[in-house]
Order: sequence, then structure tokens, then C-alpha cells
Amino acid sequence: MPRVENAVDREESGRELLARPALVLNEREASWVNDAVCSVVERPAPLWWWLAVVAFGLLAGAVPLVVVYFISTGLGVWGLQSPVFWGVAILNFVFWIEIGHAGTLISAILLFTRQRWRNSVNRAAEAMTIFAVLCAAVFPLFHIGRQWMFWYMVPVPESYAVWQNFRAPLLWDEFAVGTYFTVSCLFWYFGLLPDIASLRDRATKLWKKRLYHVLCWGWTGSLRAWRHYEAGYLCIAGVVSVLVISVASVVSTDFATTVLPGWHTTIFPPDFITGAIFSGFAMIVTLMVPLRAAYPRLKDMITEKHLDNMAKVLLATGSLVGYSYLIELFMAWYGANPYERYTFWNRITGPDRSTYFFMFGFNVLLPQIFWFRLCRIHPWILWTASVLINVGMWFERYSIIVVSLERDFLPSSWRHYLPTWVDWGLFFGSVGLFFFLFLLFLRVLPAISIAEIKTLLAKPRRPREPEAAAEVPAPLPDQGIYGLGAEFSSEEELRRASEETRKKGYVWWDAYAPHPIHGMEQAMRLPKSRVSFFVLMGGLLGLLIGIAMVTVTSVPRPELLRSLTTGQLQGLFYATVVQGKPYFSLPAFVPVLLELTILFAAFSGFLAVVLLSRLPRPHHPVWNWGELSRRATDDGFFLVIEARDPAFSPAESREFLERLGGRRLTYIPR
Amino acid sequence: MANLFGKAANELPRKIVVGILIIAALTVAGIAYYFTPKYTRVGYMPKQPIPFDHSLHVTGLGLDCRFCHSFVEKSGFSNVPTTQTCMSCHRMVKADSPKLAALRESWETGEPVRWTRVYQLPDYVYFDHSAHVNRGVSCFSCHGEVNLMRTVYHKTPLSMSWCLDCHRNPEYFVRPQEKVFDLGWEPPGGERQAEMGKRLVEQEKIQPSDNCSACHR
Repeated sequence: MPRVENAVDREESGRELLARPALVLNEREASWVNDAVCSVVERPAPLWWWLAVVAFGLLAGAVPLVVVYFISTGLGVWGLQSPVFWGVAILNFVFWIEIGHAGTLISAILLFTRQRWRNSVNRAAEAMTIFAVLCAAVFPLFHIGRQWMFWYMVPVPESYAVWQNFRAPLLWDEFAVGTYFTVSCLFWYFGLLPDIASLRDRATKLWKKRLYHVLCWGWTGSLRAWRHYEAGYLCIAGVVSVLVISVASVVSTDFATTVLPGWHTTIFPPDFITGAIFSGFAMIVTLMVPLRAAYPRLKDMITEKHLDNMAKVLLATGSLVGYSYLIELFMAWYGANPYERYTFWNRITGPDRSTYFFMFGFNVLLPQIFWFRLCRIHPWILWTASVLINVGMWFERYSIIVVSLERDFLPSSWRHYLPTWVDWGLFFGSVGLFFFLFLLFLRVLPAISIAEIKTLLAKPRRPREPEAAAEVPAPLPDQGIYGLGAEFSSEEELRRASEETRKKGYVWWDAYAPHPIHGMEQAMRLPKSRVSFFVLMGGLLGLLIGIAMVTVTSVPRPELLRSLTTGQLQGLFYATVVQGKPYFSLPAFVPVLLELTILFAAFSGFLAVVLLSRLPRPHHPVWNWGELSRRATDDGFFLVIEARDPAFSPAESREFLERLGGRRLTYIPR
Repeated sequence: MANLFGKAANELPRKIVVGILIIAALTVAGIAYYFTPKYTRVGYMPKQPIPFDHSLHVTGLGLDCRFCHSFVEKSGFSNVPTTQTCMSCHRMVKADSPKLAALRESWETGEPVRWTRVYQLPDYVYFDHSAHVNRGVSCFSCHGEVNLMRTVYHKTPLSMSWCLDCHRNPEYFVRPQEKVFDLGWEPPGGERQAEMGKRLVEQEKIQPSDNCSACHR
């Protein structure tokens, strides 16, 4: 096959000209990646894992204990007291929700900007996002006081005929955080599909295999499915990256729409977004450095280059955060509003001045060490700095929330706030919960995206030598055949073979690979995936439902409907004047509409991928071929021509595939 | 690996989806019916210490509602009759009936009869009977055909949306002031309630509030 080798050689020479630092070291191969990542899940847990999981599990146990105590006693056991109505609980909510931003940023925005190093950290970062948002959700959920009335915030038609105020930032918050959590879980799960299939094919116990099989919706690795999968991944990443921006902005409007000095400022949304990226990356580093140390094989995939990049992000966002601190001070002085000036003067010189200095030191000055390469790539310097950065970000929220509230307009109501043991218990409990969940995740699901890492591997210099042993032709099975399968030794060969197969006139055939292959759409001449169309339609549907919901529940009932309807339908119209806003207030509706659009777009994207790929599929005849079912998610590249193809004939097709370089030719029983 | 599931399993996902849809629809419908006052309150018919028969007294004997519930026009609270009110007749009529044992005991001891309350609003809702019966809202609108009931039961849901139905559309419910206590009354001459109601709402300037603070004060 001289042509095949030429093509590989040409590509190789181009690769050397445009050499980039390798993202997977030591020229690892696909099967090594599978083994390195899956063995974390498959091998018995090491001792340190048990110790850590017990320690953090006990800490997490504080959450239910404290929650039961303060629900049964009353919220008075929190340190809240006029004028500080938002204490450490809301602070912790902001702290965790912002940490959760880095996962989506890495998954989505770095995907667009073609930062391929994201492939080895995105899975863990997404898991971190989900657990952080979960920890965040604990606080507002219990802050509402009467937790069993939580469903009042959910827009369902009920016998009270009362609707939510969609113009209120706290409701935006609910929609933003709810959507963020749901879509993050979906995106994470979507990325996991091929990797769960890898686990399935490696598992030895039947019940495990079946469980993984159900969880991955019967993923085959068919290139026709990969095409939809890639399109869907990109589309969902697109809508998710809007979420990153919107959630931090919406959380900041909880503060910015009030008139409290120190909160009432337009810099809050961008400030919160940079802060979110900053603290989120610090948390990823906090998790990744020990992970590398615990599993040294992962160091080939999470390299110094990755640490270096993450440290650079920390440096950039830390400096941006510092910039907004300075701008806040400048505006306070330049704005000449005595209350605003006093607020900032109080932050620096008041009784809680230490929080301001922790915040400034850890968030702005400390990251400046990352100008030096040694500090960027030395794991433990980086780790210590990132832990301190998270401490600094916690103090930033303390300074913003508590210190501003302690000094309101009326000096007679000033009061010093002190968190009680209940506040601390819930906070440290949430820290325990976060690390506890992350440790469980490590042992249950692949912590590194196997399929995506495989696209980064240095391709083998030349196709692997065909095995020397003469192949025994497989006999035709008795009960009829589903098709003829052949294995190819590299993605390039599979692409070539696919092109030839198509040119030969075969229609009913498919290729199977552990990761998407570029140029395959052209080789198989597949039409553009229609997933993006469904994402658009889903988004529009969400937008329309949102518009209908917020409009009908916010405007007075039109006269036209007065004589037409009675009873429950009229309960839909709930015209209430709040905050002096008009009944239909478009700017105030935007957050809710945006979140619903994203929610529907993401789910329709997922469903479109699954259904267009003809999944879920519990049974598929190709799995009757043991070789394919073992290695299609590992390092095998397969091509299967179905017997129902009009051009198929057992002998000729076999000769054809052999000529293309196919090995291990097998008649797959029906 | 070979195949983990048989060929027949390929039909399963579709069946599971259909099953989930059916269960979800049933759950929603079930909650919408069984978890709301339409089900939880309507039909509540407690056993009373005296088997008082409204149909006998109102339809049979022609007593007016206000004969017993005497302050309903003047007070926010519609009173239950005192023992003295009952005894003004029952000292002579059916004075020895075993059904009235509890009444006679109350008369002798001075302890009121312990009637079981049927209609009860939550404490956070302010309701004034006089404000309603003086503005053309009949007893019938909330309590139903009490004139025909042998034992009183909870007729309407008393949910907030049920209150709002009338507060937002009084024309479907109001009637002429003098017919408020005439439970079986219907608009004469085939006039439709909506037309009559619209006229009354305009004439009497009936403007029920749907502010939160109208009831939650």
C-alpha cells in the first residue's frame, strides 16, 4: 500500500515543521491511555483514598447535622442580625458558585479557542463544577427559612394562583443556577458517553458491563455517530459558554441592583466573572496537583505544560481582579459620594480591615509570583499559592457582603457581625462535601477524557506491521451473516479504506473508531450533521415558552379574555407592580429568557445526537465480533460492510478489504 | 464482549420512554387533583353532636339563614346559634327527642354545644362575612345549596385561586342584594348571570380588590 504510507509520511514531515510541545508525553499509545485512566477506577482503592474519603466524609457529615439543628431550632442560630441579613451563608454560596465556573470555561470556551490542552483537565474540571454548584445550592436552599416551601419559587400552576416575580434578581438567580447545574451535568455526562463505553468494554463482570452499557446508551464508536457527537458537543459547548458569563453576572446582580454603597455598582458583573474564573482555576490546580502526585502515570497527560498554562490564567485573572479592586477605590473617591467613600474607607481601616488585606494580598499580590516560570511549573509552589488564592477569594466575598452590610446609611443600626458555630459548621461541612464527592468521582468515572486525549496522541510513525502469522479465513457462520468486518492499523488507513469502500459503491457499511477522525466526513461523504438545527429549534422553543411564561404571568388579563374564560386559566394572569417596573419589562426578563433558551437548546442537542445516532441501542450485531467489541473503544479501527448491501458478496468483499490492508477479516454472525 | 442484551432489548428504550411518559402524566394529574383543596377540603362532612338538618329547617320550615346566623350582616364572623336560639323553639317542639340530648344538656349546664367546625380559613387570611353578604355575594356562592343539605359539608375549595375567581370576575357571582339569602334563587326571565352580574357590578360599583393586602393584612 504505497499510497497510504506516502500520505502518512507527508503528514509527519508537516508535523515536524510545525512542532508544538506535546500534550501527551513519552509517545504514549491509545491502549496505554485507556489503561492509565481506567485503572484509577478499576484497581482497588489505595490506602490514602480510604483515609481521605473517611476524613472528608466525616466533615461532610456536619452538613446534615447542622441543617437538622437549625431547621428544628430556627434561623436565629445563624449569626444574622439587623443590618447584616446576608452573612456567611450567602458568602459561601457566592464562593462556591464562582469556583464552579472554571469547569464550564475549560470545557466550552477553551474548546472554541482551540486550547487543546483542555482535553486532559476538562473532565475533572466539569466534575468540580457540578460538585461546587451542589455545595453552593445548599446555602440559598436553607437560607429561605421555610425550606419546605421551596416549591413556591418554581413556576407551576397551583391552587394559590400566585406567580413568581420574574423581574427579581433572586429569581434570575434561581433560573441561572438551576440551568447551570442541569446543563453542566448534561454536558459532563455527554462527554462521558464514549468513556463509559471504554469502561464497559474493559469490565469483566457481566452486571458491570450491562450497567455501563445502559449508562452509555449503547455507544458503538460508529463514525456516523461520532459525526453527530462532535457537532453536538460543539453546539452544547456554544450554549454553555454563554452560561459561564450569565451565571456570574446574575449572581452579581443580587448585589448590584440594591442601593447599598459598595454593592450598587456596574463593575460587579465583569468583576464577578473574572473572580469566578480566577477562583475556579485555583480550585482546579488545588485538585490536579495532588491527583498527579497520587497517580504518577497521569503526569504524562497532565504535564508541566498544563500547570504552566493554568498558572498563566491565574496570573492574568488575578491581575484583572486587582484592576477592578483599584477601579472600585478610584470610583469611590472620584464619585464623591460620601457613603460610597466611607464604605471603602471602612473596608480598609474599619474593624474588619484584615479581610481587605487578606483579599488584596492573596488575590492580587500573590499571583504575581507566576511571572516566574519556576513558580508556574513547580507543583507544590503552585498548589500552595492556589489554596491561598481560594482563601483570599473567600475573604473578598466577606469584604463585599458582610463589611458592606455592617455599615448601612444609619449609624445607629451599625453592628459588628460574627458568624456562629452553625455558620462555620455549614461552611466546613460544604468543603468536606466537595472533596468527598470529588474523591468518589475519581473511583467511579474516568477522571480524564479518554476519547479526547486520544486525538492528541502523536500518531505512530508508520502503520503497525501486519501480524506475520498467516490468517486463517474465518468460516461462514451457519445462521447467516450480518456482514464482513476488517481491522485497520491506524486512523489514516481507516480513512483511506472508507474512501475506497464508498467509491466502490457500497452503501450499507460503517467504520468504528475510539475517537473522531478528521476528514472522515469527506471520506464517507456524509452530509453535514443536522444536530445544530435541532439545537437552534430547541433554543427557540425554550425562548418562546419563556416569553409566554413571563408575559402571561406578569401582565393584566386582557379584556378580550374576560368573557371567554373562567376558572383556572384566569389564575395565569398575575399582574403585580413591583419595584416600579412596568408589567412587561423586557430588560428584567432577559435573564430568565436566556436561561430557558440555553436549557432547551442543550437538552435538544443531547437528544438530537442520541436519536440521530440511532441510540439507545441495547443490541447491535457488530458486537457479535469479539475483536470489535473489545477494542473499538480502545485502540482498534474497524470497518464493517453489511451483508444486506446490494454490492456485497462474501468472497469479493473479502478480497476487496484484504486488498485495502484490512486484517483479522471476520464474517460477523447475524 | 459479544452482545450484552438480546435482540428483543432493542424495543425496550421505546417502551421505557412511553412508560415514563404515562407515569409522569399520571403523577402530574394525580398531584393536581389529590394534593389540592379541590380534593383535600371539598366533601369534608364531620359528624356533629346534634344531627341538625338544614333542609328541614330552611326548605321545610322556611327559616331565614339570619334566624340562626344572626350577625352575619353586621360582623366579620358568622356566628353559630347559641343554645338559647335553638331552645326558643325546641323547649316546645320535639322537646323530648333523643337527637336533642346534647342541646338539653347544654341548656341545663350552661356549657355551649361543641359543634365541629366545617369551614376554616388559615390565620393569615382575613375574611369578613358582612363585607360579602352586603355586596351581593350570596351564602350559596361559598357554602353551596345548604338549604337542601341534611348534613352540612364543605362545598367549595376555599383555595386562593378560588377566591380570586370571584374577586377578579364578580359578574359571574353577584346577585341582587335582596336575594343574597335566597339560596335557591335564579335570575328571573331567563336572564344570564353574566349579563345581570355585569349590570349589578356597574350599578353597585362592586370593585373587589385583588391586592395581596386585601386578605393578607
